[in-house]
Order: sequence, then C-alpha cells, then structure tokens
Amino acid sequence: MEPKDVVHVLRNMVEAVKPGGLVLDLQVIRPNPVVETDRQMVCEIDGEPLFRGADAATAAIEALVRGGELIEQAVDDHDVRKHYANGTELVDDFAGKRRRLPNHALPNLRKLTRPCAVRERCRLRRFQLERLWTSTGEHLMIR
Amino acid sequence: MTPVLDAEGAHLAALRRLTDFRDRRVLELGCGDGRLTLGIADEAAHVLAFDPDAEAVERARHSLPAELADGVTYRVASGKEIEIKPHSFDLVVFSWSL
Repeated sequence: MEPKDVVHVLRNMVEAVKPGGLVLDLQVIRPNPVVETDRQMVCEIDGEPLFRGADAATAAIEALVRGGELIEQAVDDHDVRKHYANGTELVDDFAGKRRRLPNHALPNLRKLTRPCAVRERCRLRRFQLERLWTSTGEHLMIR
Repeated sequence: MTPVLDAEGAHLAALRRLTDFRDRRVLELGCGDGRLTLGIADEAAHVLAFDPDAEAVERARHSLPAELADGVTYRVASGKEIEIKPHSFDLVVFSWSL
C-alpha cells in the first residue's frame, strides 16, 4: 500500500469495528531480513522499501493512539520465514519485487542447491477501540 | 516446489497469543491466498477477508474447505474502495497490509 493511502484505509477499517473492538496490526520491522540456509546467514536484504510503508502505517496508528481512539494492549515480536527449494527459486521470487537482493550475492545464491529461506522480523500489535459509556451503561459511538 | 511462506505458522501463533477469535466477526485486510484466514475461521463466527489481488483471492476460494464455507467470505477489493457497514465487526486484522 502506498504511504499516502494508509490514513484513509486505516480510518475506513477502524470505522467498521464496534466500539471496544480490536485492531490487530501485523508489520515487518527492522532489522533487515536475511537469507539463510541451514539456519546460517548467506546475505542480508535491504528491507527499506517495505519499512517505509510500515513506518507510515505505524505513524497513522500512533496518531489514533495519541488521539485516544485506540488503546495499545499487547505486542508480539516474532520471526517468520519464507522457504525455497534452492537459491534459484529464491532469486526468481524476488524478480520485480520492491525489495532487491544484493547484487554481490546473486552468483552464490544461484549456485545454492539446498533449501533456503528468507527470515524477517515481524511485530503484531493489538489495540482496542475506545469504548465510551453513558451513565445508563449504553454504548456511545466512537468519534 | 513453490515458495512457502511461514510453514511454521509463526503469524497465526502470534495472532492466537494476542487474541481469542472465538465467536467474533472478523474483518481481514490483505488476506492474499487465505494463509491466515483459515486459521482465524477455525474459531471465528465469520470472517470477511479481502485483497486487491484477484488471483490470490481465487486461490483462497479454491482452497476453502467445505466445512468453513459458511464462515468465510472472500472479496476482491482494496482497503481504499471496499464499503463496510460501520461497527459491524468485532475486530480487524491487518495482515502485512497497511
């Protein structure tokens, strides 16, 4: 998603959720992803093209947190891997992608005949929408 | 072999650590081929999952098990254009999609 669209989409989706409901946001986070084989690092990938979008999403969410519309409740950082049969399959999968494999690593990656994987760090955040109540216990709508 | 994303199920495990999907109406933005949708739908009351990638959504529809068919609706749409009734879901999941 283009950074300029993030605020509009976030607003559109949050309005679909009931007051007191939850927002779960899964994003890639720094450091850069790495290519591994047998859990050993082969090379690092410049993650900035995706981090810029993730930063824009985080900024849009933080604005709702500061405005009191979302309340952060929990964070879970974890690694996720994309698995490939060999290096050629991995290189081909990156064709046309925003993230580029480093040029200096391409010859060795293409020679890689063993299974390999791209490992990246992800963050899942849970937020609750503001829940407003009247004195009689009825819901009020979010702003 | 085609590339396999998250064969270990790390994303779904994280979602389950942070949320109980049971009996909830879930909106999923960026469902792709339904990789997370099925795991959510196992517990949720209903999932509306959408993605602008028509081919991915078609794969998701094709791989939807019959026992979950009533609990999942897939749509080809982007977060910019989709129209959702306000306050109609219990939670929204952004799957690498904001």
